[in-house]
Amino acid sequence: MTKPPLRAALALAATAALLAGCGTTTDEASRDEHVKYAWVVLGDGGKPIARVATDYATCPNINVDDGETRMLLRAAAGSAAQRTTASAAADSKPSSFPLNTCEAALPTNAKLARVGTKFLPLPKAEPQRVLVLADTGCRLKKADNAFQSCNDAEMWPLAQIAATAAAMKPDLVLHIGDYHYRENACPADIAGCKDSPWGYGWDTWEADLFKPAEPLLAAAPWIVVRGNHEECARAGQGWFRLLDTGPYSAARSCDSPANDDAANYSAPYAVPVGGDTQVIVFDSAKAGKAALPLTDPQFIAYQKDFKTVATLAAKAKTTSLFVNHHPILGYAPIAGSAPAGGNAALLSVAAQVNPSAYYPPGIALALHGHVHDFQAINFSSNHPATFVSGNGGDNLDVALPDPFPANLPPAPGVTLDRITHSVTFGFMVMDRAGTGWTFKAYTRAGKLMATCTQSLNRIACDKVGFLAG
Amino acid sequence: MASLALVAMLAVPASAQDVVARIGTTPQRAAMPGVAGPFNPSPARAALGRQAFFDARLSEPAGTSCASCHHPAKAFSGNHGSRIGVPLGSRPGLLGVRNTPSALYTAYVPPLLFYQDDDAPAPTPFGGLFADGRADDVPALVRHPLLDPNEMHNRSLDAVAAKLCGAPYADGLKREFGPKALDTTAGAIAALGKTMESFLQSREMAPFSSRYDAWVQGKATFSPQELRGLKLFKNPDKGNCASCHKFNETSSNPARSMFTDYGFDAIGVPRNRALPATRDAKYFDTGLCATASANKWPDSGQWCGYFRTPSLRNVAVRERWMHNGVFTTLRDAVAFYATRSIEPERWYRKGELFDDLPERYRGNVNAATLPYNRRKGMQPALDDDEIDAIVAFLRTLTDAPWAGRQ
Repeated sequence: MTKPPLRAALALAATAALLAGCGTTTDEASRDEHVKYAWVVLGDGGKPIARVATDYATCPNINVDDGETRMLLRAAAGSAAQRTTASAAADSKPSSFPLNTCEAALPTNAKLARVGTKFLPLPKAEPQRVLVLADTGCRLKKADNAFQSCNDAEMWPLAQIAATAAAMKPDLVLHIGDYHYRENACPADIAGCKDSPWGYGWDTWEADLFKPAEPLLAAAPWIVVRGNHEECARAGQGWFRLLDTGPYSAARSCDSPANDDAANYSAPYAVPVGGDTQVIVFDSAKAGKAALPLTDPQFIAYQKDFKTVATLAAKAKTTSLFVNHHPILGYAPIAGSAPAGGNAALLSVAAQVNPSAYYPPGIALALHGHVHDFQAINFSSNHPATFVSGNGGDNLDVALPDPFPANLPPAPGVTLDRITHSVTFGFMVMDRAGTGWTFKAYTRAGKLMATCTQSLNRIACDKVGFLAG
Repeated sequence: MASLALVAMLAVPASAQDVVARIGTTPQRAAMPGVAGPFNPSPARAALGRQAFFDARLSEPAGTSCASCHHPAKAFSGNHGSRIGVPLGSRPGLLGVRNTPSALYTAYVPPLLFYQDDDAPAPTPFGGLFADGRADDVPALVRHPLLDPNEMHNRSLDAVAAKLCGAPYADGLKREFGPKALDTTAGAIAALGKTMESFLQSREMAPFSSRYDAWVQGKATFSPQELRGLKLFKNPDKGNCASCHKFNETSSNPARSMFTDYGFDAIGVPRNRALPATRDAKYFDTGLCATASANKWPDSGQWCGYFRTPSLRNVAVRERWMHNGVFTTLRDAVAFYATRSIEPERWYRKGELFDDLPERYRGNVNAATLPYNRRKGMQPALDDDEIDAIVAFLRTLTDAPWAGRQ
């Protein structure tokens, strides 16, 4: 059973005694054997949404500060007809979701929320610690001949990372996308991934995220960002059922490719992190590799989104952190060549909406995943310092060069000051430090690798260049 | 240097179903080839190929067979009596330009292709026979050593065909390929290529009988040092060898453990100054870029210095290591990865990094993959004991016929 927060312990006493007295809830739908997982995501404005995955036909009750209501059905169990996927048809299958996803909006100031005996993590008014990770799944991809040993915690470290990070007692978790990597079947001759679920259904989502990350799901509410692995032709169906913070509908389910042109995009929204900071969540799931023509529908969609970001970032007296999956002012390492810069599609739009600045005024920092490494980048030009925290579980990338080449900006008009980077498995922690934040890079085992302090849109790290794991 | 992205931009559509584009004349495929094998070659053809492989009449002058360099006693590698890192050819004093690779497991090498994972910034090449990937299959391969003046030195394929007509296995070739198979040069060379392909597909040439294979099957044990070496070999923070020398010790299919991804890498090995060719300061073996140029890849220069990642099966039985045979011990080869840029003076004359490449191509050398991403002054990713452990593990990759010879 998940432990309740200490501050709520006294308030819980009566409830706990009642539960102990009768052993379990009397509501069959709320019994623990039906409620497989319970978690909390933060949506637009930081509104907390409780979610459960249940095998019971009826949604369970949720007890919030001693008031009990029945959760609402978000996505009914079911299996849509097989759609086109990123894999060949022979290596695809219909996505089966045998569990109902239920949800309930929570009051922002709720002190306690419980489903059955599972206590849900609730947002704090002034979060002090935010755990940041991305690219966490276990790669099973036939086209790559890549079959990561998902059954071996040494080779796929998400469970260790989740346990290490949960022990640091974060107040929030920020996952920057790519939760799901098990796209194709593990060949029968490979014990390292033998019997792994595959495809885009619930069993794969459970194996790639919910089970190994359970300690982190119990530790804190999550801010969820969509990665390219969650675009509609990949794990988009699970994304909308389980994680997306907007309303669920057929049009926004990724069940039919006919809706992909809309469902591969989401309007940006802001999640407050205390009174002085906000995370602006940007969906770049479908961003390609090439710069976009002005008339391209994708250009137009992202153009609208960047304008929304400008509106959100204009909030007074607020440090705005721009968060999306693909690095914009970050780097992609290439063996035997100079690193590539940021995502060309997003840069082409950002440069048009915010010429030379790329980001609108008000954006202090940018956080990304996608590249499977850690990067902390400070610019001497007036651009937001950038972090990449994509070393959460999938196979790692090669390292960025050290020393880093001179005069190699991630985008035209940007001047690199210093970069700190690593390619060991791990995660990042943001700790509140006065009016700003301190960013710490950790290995999978919790070894501190680097600490970066923030001042407005700059960071200063205590180490520079490549960090060995 | 032109960006790799340029390669993708210039790709043009192709017709074959799994070919998504062509880069020059090389296909870019939608997926990497699956695991090759097992092969079931015709025993008769494999036997003919074996005869041809050992046929010393096929050189000019006679006396040098394929097996002279790909010597069975050396796990089908070796340098034909040369001690400087590259093989002697059929003529006294003339040497080939590259260290002889083992002919074992050749059948598993896919044809040259490009592949781009959706997360990768650009397509990258894989496969092809020879260290520069220039031949797609064994029938295409055989003509190269036969005609190379520094190897078997035949003046023409006609001359080779004539020798095949007079070979003791000529009747066998006619039985397999028809009575007129040797009537034309093209027919004779094709027959030779097909028999050689069958031989290279035979169990003799892919035995999968190493202690490693037995260990995977639970029929052998590793010493603590070998086990440590295995872990270091895999660990992305330490040896990280498996990032290119791919294998899967959890698979019951040994072909998933070829200890290569068939990709290309520029690792900047030191110049082998024992090679006569290097007396010419302008001589450089630049590897893949010759193939890139021949195949009309855009900006072929970006591939200068790249060589195909070899299989490490039987690596401990080699006479010399690296494409130019510069290293005389396996331990040096492993230590080079760990300390290449940290102690350049240990590996390069006057500490001049990547001195076996023209200066303009030294930027192609991979400085990104661990452990050779370290710079001078840093701690190496592997200490001496760890290097020894990896070498111990690599010795487990020797197939049974050569187990006592490493």
